[in-house]
Amino acid sequence: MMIKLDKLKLRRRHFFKAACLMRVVSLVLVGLISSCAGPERWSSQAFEAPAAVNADIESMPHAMATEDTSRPDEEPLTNAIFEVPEHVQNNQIILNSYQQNAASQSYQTPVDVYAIEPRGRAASYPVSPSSFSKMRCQHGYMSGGSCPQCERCPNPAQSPACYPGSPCYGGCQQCQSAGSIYKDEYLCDGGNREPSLYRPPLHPAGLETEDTLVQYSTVDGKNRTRYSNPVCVYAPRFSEVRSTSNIRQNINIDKVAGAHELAYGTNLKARVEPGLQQLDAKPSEADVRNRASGYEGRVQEGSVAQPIAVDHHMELTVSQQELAFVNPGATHSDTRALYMNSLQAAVTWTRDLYPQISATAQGGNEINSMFKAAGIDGVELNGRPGELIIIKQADLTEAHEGEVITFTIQFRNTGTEPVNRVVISDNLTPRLGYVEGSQTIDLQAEFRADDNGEGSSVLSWGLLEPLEGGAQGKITFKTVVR
Amino acid sequence: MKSIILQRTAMLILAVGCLASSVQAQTTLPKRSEGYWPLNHLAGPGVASQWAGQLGKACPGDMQTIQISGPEGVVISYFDTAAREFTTASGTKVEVQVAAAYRLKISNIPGYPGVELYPTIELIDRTHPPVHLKHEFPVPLIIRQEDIDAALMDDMVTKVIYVDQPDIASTMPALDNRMRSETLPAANNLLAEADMRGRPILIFRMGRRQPNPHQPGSFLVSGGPVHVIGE
Repeated sequence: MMIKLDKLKLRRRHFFKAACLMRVVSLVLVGLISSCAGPERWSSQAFEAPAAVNADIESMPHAMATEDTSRPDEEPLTNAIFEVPEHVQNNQIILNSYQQNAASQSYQTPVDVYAIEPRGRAASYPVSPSSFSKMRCQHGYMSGGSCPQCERCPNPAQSPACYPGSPCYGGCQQCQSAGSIYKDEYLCDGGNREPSLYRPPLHPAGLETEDTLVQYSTVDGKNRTRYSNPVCVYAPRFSEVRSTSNIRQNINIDKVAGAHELAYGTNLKARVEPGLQQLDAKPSEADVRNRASGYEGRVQEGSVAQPIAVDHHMELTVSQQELAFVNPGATHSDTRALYMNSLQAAVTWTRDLYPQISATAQGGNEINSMFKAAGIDGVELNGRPGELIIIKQADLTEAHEGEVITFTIQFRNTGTEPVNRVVISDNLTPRLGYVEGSQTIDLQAEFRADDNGEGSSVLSWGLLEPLEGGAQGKITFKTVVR
Repeated sequence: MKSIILQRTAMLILAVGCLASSVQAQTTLPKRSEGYWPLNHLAGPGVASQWAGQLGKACPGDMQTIQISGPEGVVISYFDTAAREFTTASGTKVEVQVAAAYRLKISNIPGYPGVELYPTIELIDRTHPPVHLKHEFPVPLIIRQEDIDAALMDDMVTKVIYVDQPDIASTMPALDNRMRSETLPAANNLLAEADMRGRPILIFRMGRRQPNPHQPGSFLVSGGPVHVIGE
């Protein structure tokens, strides 16, 4: 028995030693990793969508609402009347080009819609390999399960994730770009691009570009906001940055010392003529301004010296006033008064004082009152409160620069009660320019097109009359692709 | 006791590691912006595209449609991996491989009879159009007369073509109604500048360097397959 206990202790010692070594190794590894990790790069390429992008977007409600506008769950929207497409009801991004070809090209299935993050920076953010694998690996072709390298799709018809002739990207980490939907290639409008933290009711603050929303008030006094679905049109735009460089320009722009280091010769010194740049720089405006500044003249000769002159001090220390203040007659009278006070004090302290402490108890009266309402004024809801849905569509699936896209906004009150103060707003993205005079609306409304500060316009339609339950409206307007 | 000593040693190593990392971060942080770009446009042709391939910007075999235009009458030739020459007219759509660099030849330049230029292009990213639009939205590259003039005056002309980011895209009209171009100082990192404006796709470099007739193969860069699509 003792032997067994000793063995057990020995094992425990070994176990503790091993555990300690494990902890040491893990701490050292953490230190090395932290030391090797450089500063994180903030760029469009470094963005990576969260792993649960798909689930997040799928779980979005029909229309995103502000805090005071939560729609009761027990009242589903009557979309059947409005004939809202299913993907729009689920608040998916409409990729018109994708929809058009979903039937013929299996690669452009509506599943791809979920890969777009509707908010955030519109640059590339490849879907992370993990989420990408969840989306694609079930369709893609993986060699050996570990994806050592990308493989060609053996049969595109059997692997709908791949388009014909393209590499198969299922699960291959090196091919993560293939599973991404790059929003910078699409021109989107609608939805809520940047949800603001706080937006006052019926206030356009926080209205970002691409946002399309409707704001209204229900008969029970609630202010609500509903966003439309985003509409994306494939319209990439390319630009270029350019520079020309040669030896002379490098030396002129950069430091001369750097050019000498690169040149290793004397010929370049003669060609460069470094003195020219320095001569140009020295007689610069900065020196002239400093020396000829007006501050020196003002300090020396200005008003500062004058007020400190004799004028004020002479008046304050004038002898007549000082003498009058120390008039001896006044001093005597003050002294006597002090004596009188001293005597009075002495008499007081020689007496025996019997201080009396009096206390009074003041009782508080507590008043309890109850106010009973004489009457309650309210609105009795006979049916469902007003609830607006707003849908946006575009007539093009892809567009080149200069083409005109016609957008259609449809809205409908799916409740039975009317809604008031209905305002539909659309803040256009900078690449969409509103075509003046192209808007139409089939209801009485006040239209405004204001500058949105981003180089485009924010369009708003304010209905002049309440929108009754079941009523609907339609807006169309044209934009030119920039 | 030993375990305590080992733990303290590990903590010391960890603290030194953290200190080293902070020092490294301070020394590598760029001054101009928050981003860090290890490459710039002055790197040799093919370096950025090689990095792009290794970083997963493109898959092996990814092709990208491009469209190179030049002054009227100019002829643009592409060289593939086997140094075969594909001669096209200006504005012809061509499919080239992503994450690869190509040597081009520009000839029949108006105003410069008999002069040839040998620029390079490299694809560091790609577009992702729907399948039926694969050739409808090529990456454009416009070689203007001023670019040719500058190259023939021993200047090195470098361009980075990028996809505009829609929410910060410029609303200024395009240069000669074709493409927005912005000329920057030579000291600027064009890759960084393009990345701040959008997503860099293509790097174009053009100087006056001519191939050595005694070493014809040395002038070629990595190259890749070339598929001429047409107008």
